[in-house]
Amino acid sequence: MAELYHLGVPTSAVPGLAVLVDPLLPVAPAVAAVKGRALASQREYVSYLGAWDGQDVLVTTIGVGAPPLAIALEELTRAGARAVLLLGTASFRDAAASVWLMPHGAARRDGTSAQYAPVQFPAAPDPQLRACLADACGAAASYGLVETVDVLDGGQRTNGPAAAQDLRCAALFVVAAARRVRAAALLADAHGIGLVGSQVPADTVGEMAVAAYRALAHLEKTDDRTGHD
Amino acid sequence: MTSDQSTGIDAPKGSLGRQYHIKVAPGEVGGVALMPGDPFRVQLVADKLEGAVEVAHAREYRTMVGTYKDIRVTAMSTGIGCPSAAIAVEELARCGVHTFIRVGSTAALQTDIAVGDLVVNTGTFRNDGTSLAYAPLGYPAVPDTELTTVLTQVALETAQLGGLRVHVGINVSDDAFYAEGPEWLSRMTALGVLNVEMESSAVFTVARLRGLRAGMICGVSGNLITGDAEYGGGGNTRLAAGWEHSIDIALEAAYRMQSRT
Repeated sequence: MAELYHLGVPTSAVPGLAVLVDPLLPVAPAVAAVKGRALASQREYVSYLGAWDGQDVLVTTIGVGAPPLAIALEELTRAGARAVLLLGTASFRDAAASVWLMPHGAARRDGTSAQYAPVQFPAAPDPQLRACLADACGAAASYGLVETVDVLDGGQRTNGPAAAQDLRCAALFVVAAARRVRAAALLADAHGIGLVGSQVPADTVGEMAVAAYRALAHLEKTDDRTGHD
Repeated sequence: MTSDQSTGIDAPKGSLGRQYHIKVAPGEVGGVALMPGDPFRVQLVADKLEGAVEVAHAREYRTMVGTYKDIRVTAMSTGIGCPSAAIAVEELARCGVHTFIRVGSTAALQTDIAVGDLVVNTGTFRNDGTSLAYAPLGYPAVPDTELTTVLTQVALETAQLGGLRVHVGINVSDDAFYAEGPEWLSRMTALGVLNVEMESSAVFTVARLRGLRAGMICGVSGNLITGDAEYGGGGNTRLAAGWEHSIDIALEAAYRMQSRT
């Protein structure tokens, strides 16, 4: 049976919908919400298969930074994934913000996305999936720009409108666009990731995961199948 | 112990106590660290140590400690890519590690390099984003000179015993495993770059900036020019042999380095 090279998941087991989980988030609540069963554990990728509203969903942990995310996205796409949602963390500019962030674009300061497309190429989520996510989150999430970097730099940010700084979104959006799959992200505040050491509560992760699954299930029912917009 | 050309830039904040990502605290590890990318390959290093125990396993970072001859050695995975590798070096350094040897996998870019061969790298073409956050592109990503010399010596001595080929030279670190197009690879080949991997640019740059030693010896997993490869399926027997050799050589090099001080 063919397996994905890095993820170790049997190719035939990959459904059309997938959720990637930031390593700073506990994965158990996301797995429990879809009654997931373990599929594979290889490198930093631990994968589970579950279902939400009758739709199979793959839940996979990823490593730190954009490179392992791009690998996961590439391998899942090659196995047939059509829509991928990242449950991630970011360092919010406004530390008092209590809502989740749905990036509608990412400033590209990472190396991974640069190897896919020139920096002028816009890093933006799929609008249809993003809309489904907004419906699923309701007032719990707000839109904002995120700035994607490659290092936990202790607060050194470019001057601009970014609401948060993260390590993945630019690569997620650019690789997804290059591979014609739908992608979006839902981010929780990690309060200066790597510096303070706060942990996003399991309940919060569970709620984020439910919103992600609702969005993906809604997308699956309404997707016009025209591919990436 | 410091490297030969430390720039001595300030260490980042939050440097005390159990480290956030790797979950290791100062004093729990040895001063020399061998670092594969894959957490499941940490055991390969531990199998060659006496009294090896697991210290932590958090995210992609699995950490074990044991003894080789009379030195305490740490084995910790970096995960894939420069962002996580930089974190590994930063946080291990705060725990007392002063010498880092990456023992990873790499793909060859020259036709005379075969699967299972070893490559000792003397500098890295910085095609990553992480090292750029630390220093401008003109800053050279180079390993510690003395450590690399010893790694090369031990590797060549091992090769003379037969059944092993060693190459020494420059590599490139990329950030995108699946976006290395043929034009880019051809350019690297023409520049004489021996191999491509995804971590050394950050490891070398961060170590240099923090006044630490770093080096790298990798087993060749495939050749992107000839198409020779051993990915999955029937087992990576030649690559597995390369990993074993690279770990043996790295441990002996670490021991000889310790003996010099």
